Parts: sequence; C-alpha cells; structure tokens
Amino acid sequence: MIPAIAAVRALLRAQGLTKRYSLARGFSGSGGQVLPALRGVGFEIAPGQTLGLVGESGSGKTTAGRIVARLVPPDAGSIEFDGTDWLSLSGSALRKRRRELQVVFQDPQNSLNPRMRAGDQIAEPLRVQRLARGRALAERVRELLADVGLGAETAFRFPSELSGGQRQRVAIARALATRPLLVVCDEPVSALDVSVGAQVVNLLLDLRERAGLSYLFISHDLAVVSRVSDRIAVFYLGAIVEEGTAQEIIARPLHPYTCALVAAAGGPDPSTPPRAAALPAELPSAVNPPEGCHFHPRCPIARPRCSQEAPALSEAATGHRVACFYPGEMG
Amino acid sequence: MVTSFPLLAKTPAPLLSVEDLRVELPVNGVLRPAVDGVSFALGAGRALAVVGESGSGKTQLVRAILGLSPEGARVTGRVLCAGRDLSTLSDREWREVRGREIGLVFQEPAAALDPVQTIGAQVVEAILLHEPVSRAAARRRALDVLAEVALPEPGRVFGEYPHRLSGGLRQRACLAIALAARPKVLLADEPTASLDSTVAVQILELLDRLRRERDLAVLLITHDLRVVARHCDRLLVLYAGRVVEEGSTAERLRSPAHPYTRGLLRSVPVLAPGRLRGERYEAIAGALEDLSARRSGGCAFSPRCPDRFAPCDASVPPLYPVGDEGQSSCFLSRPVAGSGA
Repeated sequence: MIPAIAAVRALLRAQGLTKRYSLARGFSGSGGQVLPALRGVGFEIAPGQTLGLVGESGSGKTTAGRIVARLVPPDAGSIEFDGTDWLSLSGSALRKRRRELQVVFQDPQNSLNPRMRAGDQIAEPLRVQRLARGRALAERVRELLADVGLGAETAFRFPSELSGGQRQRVAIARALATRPLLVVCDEPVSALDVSVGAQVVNLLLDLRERAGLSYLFISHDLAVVSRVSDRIAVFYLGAIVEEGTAQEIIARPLHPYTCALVAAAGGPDPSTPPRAAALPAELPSAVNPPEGCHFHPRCPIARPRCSQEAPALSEAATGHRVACFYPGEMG
Repeated sequence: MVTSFPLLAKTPAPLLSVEDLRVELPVNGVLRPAVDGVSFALGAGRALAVVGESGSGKTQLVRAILGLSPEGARVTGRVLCAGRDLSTLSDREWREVRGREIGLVFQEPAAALDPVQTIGAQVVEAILLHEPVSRAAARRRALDVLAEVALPEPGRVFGEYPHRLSGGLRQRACLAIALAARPKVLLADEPTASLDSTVAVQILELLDRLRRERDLAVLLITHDLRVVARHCDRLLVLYAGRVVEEGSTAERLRSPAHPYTRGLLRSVPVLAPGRLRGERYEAIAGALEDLSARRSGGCAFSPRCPDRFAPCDASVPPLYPVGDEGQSSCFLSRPVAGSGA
C-alpha cells in the first residue's frame, strides 16, 4: 500500500496535451479547417485513484482518453505512466506495456467481435501477451467471468446472445485479463439502461477495490462521475475549466459552467425536480471558438474582460483549480 | 377489464386514450405479448411520462398508437384520438392522423431529418401534406413555427441543411416539423437522450412552453426519472409490457408503491455532496428476460424483486389503487380488508 501523500509519484501524469484534427475538404471545396480538439491539457492520477473527465460532446474528454490509451497520437504534450515516458514507447516495448493500461468503451456492441465467443475475446489479450495457455488460460477466463459476475457458461456465448449489460461485463473482463494498473473507461454506462448502468458502476467500484485499480473515467454525466471519482476535471471546448476533488466540484463548484452542470444534474433526491436554469445557446463551434474565455457567450456572469482575455487554469483553493476571472460568483 | 381512471371524470374529453392495448409479436412462431393490457388517458395541456427500460414495451406501445406495429403482430384493444377510434382506420386515414392529429419527435434528430432537404422545405412539406394552403402561405407558417421553437434567426435556419445545425438546433427543427400541421397530441420518444445535459434542459423547457401555449397533450417516452420529475404531471411505469405503477408524478416519485419503481429510483445517478466516494447503488438484481423467455402466470418482476412472497408467482397482480388517483400492480399494494380503501 502506498500512502496517499502529495510526494507520492503519480501513476499517470499528462502535460500539455494538444490535438488538432484537420477537417477534410468536402465536395463543395470548403473545409481545410483545423479543429483544435485539445488545447494543452494536463492532469494526474495517483495510484489506486480515479480521475473523472466530464464535459459535453466535443469538449475533448474522449480525445484525452484516447491519447492516454495510445489510440491516437497527440500533436504535443507528454505522458508519464508508471515511471516511463509513455508516448515514446513503440513497437515491442509498447506492446509489452499495453497490458498495464486497458480500455472499456461505451458500446460493447461495437467493441466486441461479433464472430468470437465471449470466452475467446477474454482470452485473446492473454494469448497475445503470452500470459497464459492451455488449461491455465481456460481457468483464468472462468475466473475473470466470475469476477465480473458472469457464469462460466457465458464463455461459449456470442455477443449477439448476450444482453447489453452482459456484453459490457465481458468487455470489462477482457480489459482486466492482463491485470492492468489503469483502465480508461470511456462512457462505460451511457449505452445501458438505468438499472443495468447502476449494476455496472457497482461492478467497477468492486473491481477497483479488489484489484487496486485506477480509472480514468470519462462521462457526460456528472452524477455518475461523482459517484466513481476521487478527482474530477471539467472539460469545455478542448480545455479543462475546473479541476478538484469530487467533493469540492459538486459541493462548491467555482466555474459558472460547472455550476450549470451541477444544477442540470439535480439534487440528491431524484423525485425532486432539478432547479436547473437553462444556459443560453449551445457549445459553440470548436473551429472558430469565441475570443477571450471560450465560455463567455453562454456565461450568466460574463463581464467585458471575459470577451477579451482568456483566463488561465490556476489554483483558487488548495487542490482546486479553475479557469475563470470571477470564480465562485455564480451561486 | 378496462381500468377506470378517476381523472377522466374531471377532464371531459381526453385527447388520447388507450384502452387495454395488447401487442403480440411472433417469436419463433408463437405470439408473445410485448404490450400486455395497457390503458391510460391523456388530456389537453397535460404531460404523461411513460418510463420503461429496453424490453419494457414502450417502443411497441408508441408504434401501436401510431398504427405502425410490425408485420405479423396482433394488436387488440383500442386507441382513441379525440374520441375517434384509430383501430378501424384505412391507410389513407392513418396518414392524416400521423402529423395532423398526432405529432412525433424521435430520439435522433439527425436520423429523423431528411439530409438532402433544407429545414424550411421539410416544414413546408409537413404543412402542405395536411392543409390545402398555398406554398406562400405554408412558407409564412413555416417561418412562424421555426420562430415558435425558438430557433435563432428562423429566416437563416429555413434555408439550412440539417448537417449544418447542432444537435439541439436539429431537435428544435424536428419539433417545428412535428408541430407544423398543428397536432393536438405530441409523442416524444426520448427526445433528449442524444443531447448534452445543458442542451437537454433547453429542449425540455421548450416542450413545457409549447405544451402550455398550444394546450398540447404530450406523451413523453423516457428512461430518465429526473426528466419526469420536472416536466411531466403524470407517470406510467412499464415493465415487461404491463403497467406496474401509474399516478401523479410528484406523488409516485415521492412514495413509489411498486418495488420496481423503488429500484429504478435508487438506480438513478444523483449528485450527493457528502456521500462517500465509491458508495454503491442499491441496484435492482438481475435483468428483464427476453420476450421469448418470459413466463406467464406470475408477476414478471418477481424473479428480481426483493419483496417477493408466495402470491407473486401464483398470479399476476392486478392494478390496486394507491395514494391519490394512483395505481400499483403489486400484491403489497393490495388494500387491507376493512380499511375502506
């Protein structure tokens, strides 16, 4: 056990992650524009801890997760993972280390191979990594199925024969097969029914406790994120606008955008309606973001300065960072 | 057979009423009930939420209301729209009802809109399909409707193609098309499920305003109880094709009578400052069986029910009255003899 003190080395430290996508030219000859999906984003995950990334579609949270999982390369930035320069690994060195960082996607319908039985999909990373074979492999698959609450007979089922919740459990079992240190969970319950989503969140919490896992937990739903995460980073238009402990973010949100997310999520009792006042307009185009603070056109407390200067992410209280000139002024 | 609705007494003519509706689908050559005796009534200016998960029958319910049940399905019971029995309509009459009497909004605005027609052309078409007005008059009406759904710069949006709009603006355009022919009933099937939370709030507030201004009867299909609490006055919970609980939203969510409704409420992700990190949900165990595996003769929820007792497997519980004008299909809601309930 590593004591949770500040001096402890982070399991993962991302700095200055930047990613631009070139938009393809269309038939009309337009396009050729650049979409800055991430603009210099940094975060840390301590061993055994969970960092939640929350934000709307197009906010950059998924891009950040994909960069961490080495599914897309960033244009700039660095990631240190378990003491190594994660982005410089390639070839066999990367293949060898990939087992330590696994991914669970939103839609198990698409992330599982429809022509492969569940047991074979779970065994695949173990075979590829040469971690087990023969009887030991079969035994490990049974054990993994049991870990995610599925019976041994599930090994012989095809994804089409499983429910959405069962498929997501298979995907989780596959991610856990190689005993990773960190699992990137990208909207893991968004495609599931409410009652099934609650079961899967419970499972992820159980597994974290049992295996000492860390999660990078990505979701548009602040309520789900707050249940799972130790710390939360709020994304808006490719940047982190607020970051702090889950407690602080939901009890004392400082950024007006976080305040709106908290209000939209409603109170602790689902039977009492949320007191959300709708924010005006929508997420603006990331291709031509507004001048100054990117949030100012939708911000209820925006002042002249906000349309001229962009606030930097800076510490407003211990361990609580916010990118706003007037933090905490929206109640 | 048909459950009586005390509410009907106060609301003279419900705009939409569904009476003992049953939709049986062929599964391996055997007809199985996907919707199993559902009844409700919906008045002008009211919003009824139908809450259910995958397999609950809510999609088949909506399709049956619109006369769009799949080939091979057996549909019995009645659907009345403004007093008119829809079960006897011809195909031509159905086309008049859809859009003219009952408007429709779907979950995915991108899929509901025609990608190669401008928004304006689609609204104009919806008007011309149902009303004998000139193209110029339809165009004026279309601009009015686009303004009514609070699309910024209606004149500009009129000439835009769907892909040029954001998800929230597209859903507003879908609402404009749905309301173009001035239907009295609006079916909204998960209208905000594909939208971001701050945008979803805007669309739901717009729906509320349109309902008040147009005295619309809104049937909102959703799985989000947080949406129900804020935007619907009545609630109907479906499980395995049956109504398990029904009543006023505020009361049913405050004191849910059916164990399934209670479980659903506990599964809703909520923000709770002060909660311990990693606190588990009191999730409902198990899963709803496929249509082919569902048994008959007992409560469909009993295999997952924490409060199961002997009667649950012996027969299907009827709808018992609970609270003020509510109903619950659970033996635990059975009135105690002599209590005068």
